[in-house]
Amino acid sequence: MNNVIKITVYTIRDQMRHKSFYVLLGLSILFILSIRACYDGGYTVNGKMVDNVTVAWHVSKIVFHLIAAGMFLMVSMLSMKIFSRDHEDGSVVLFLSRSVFRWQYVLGRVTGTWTLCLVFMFILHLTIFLTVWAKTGTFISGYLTASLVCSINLLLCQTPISMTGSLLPCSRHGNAQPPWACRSFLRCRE
Amino acid sequence: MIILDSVTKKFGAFTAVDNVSYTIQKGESFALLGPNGAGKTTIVRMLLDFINPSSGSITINGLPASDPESRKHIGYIAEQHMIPPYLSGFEYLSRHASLIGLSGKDAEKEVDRVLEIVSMKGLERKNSAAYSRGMKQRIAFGAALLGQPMLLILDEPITGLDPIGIRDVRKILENLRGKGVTVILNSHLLSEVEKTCETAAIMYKGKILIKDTINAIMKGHETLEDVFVRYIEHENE
Repeated sequence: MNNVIKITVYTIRDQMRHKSFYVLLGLSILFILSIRACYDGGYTVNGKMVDNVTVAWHVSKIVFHLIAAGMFLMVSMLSMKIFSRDHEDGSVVLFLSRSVFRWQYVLGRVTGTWTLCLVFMFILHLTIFLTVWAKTGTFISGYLTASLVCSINLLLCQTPISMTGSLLPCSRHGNAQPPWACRSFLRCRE
Repeated sequence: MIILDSVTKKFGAFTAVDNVSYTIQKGESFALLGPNGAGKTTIVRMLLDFINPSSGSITINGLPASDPESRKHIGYIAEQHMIPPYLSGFEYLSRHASLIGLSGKDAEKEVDRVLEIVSMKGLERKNSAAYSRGMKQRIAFGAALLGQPMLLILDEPITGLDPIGIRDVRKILENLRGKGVTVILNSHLLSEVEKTCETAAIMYKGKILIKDTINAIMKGHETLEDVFVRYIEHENE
């Protein structure tokens, strides 16, 4: 289990080396902050006055899903190359030439990428949560819990993509193995 | 002790390694020789469990090669060893040190020790993307030496090294031989093999043509290169 944690930490560190990670996070937060004006003032919908708490609730829900959709895109892009990049840059040899089980390597890489996306998404959702709190003085109940639950969906999206991403080159060589046989899919790349 | 028992590896219809059996004793410096495509690297990859044998078994110190525990005391240099370009030499070695169970000061000391051995002290903080091939090879050699390995598997370790680097590697191997470390060396540089190894096997088309001590393989005033050419030409006839 120790190896899984080590590989998870390496994965997070490696991903965070990319400047694009910080640029993307900064841009996302800016986008979220740019809509904070929506929470100000009153609205009239179908002739009825709607208070800013109700507006904040609905806007926050929409932005919640926008962020989640963006994160699905991000996690897909990160997961697609997670194993092929390791093969290209020699990381796979680094890990597997040591006493690391294949499942530990796979689990570490997947967990690391997932954790990073989870934190990224949570920061964005937290920004919304705090903005609503600052603007309306109310907490949106269950908002942050929903963010954590949504991260499970990220994992469900990420796992098959990373497995498929690692399987495709093997298929090209006529050595396709089912992804659940995660023992084998790294072998045929060597 | 390493035991290969009737090991065969097939890639589709192509047989890369054909029913190979041999034993490498503890402390033996063993060279695996053969032309390109003979199956040497395939054997190394099977030893490290990167690929499975199609049939037969490989045992390292009593453990099957498929058991990661068997790699606990193995140092490995791949042919054209790659270092992730975003890591410095120090980070790369630190990761290896961490994976063999070293941490904190112990890891730092060990990394420093191998940096001295491979003459990379002072250059370790540079990003590996800025390293020459020879420098990468030195770092790779350092990684293989971390944690006092009992078995070194070296696949073309001196490729890309300058003459001083080659001399350093030879010295390191001689030093390790004195400490009872088993060495498996894949190399095309037969003159180096002659200087550093005690036993050798010549492979061709996946089969072992001969395995013996280097002195026994060479007859009269023959060099290892003469023997190698003789065996390969004989097989081609």
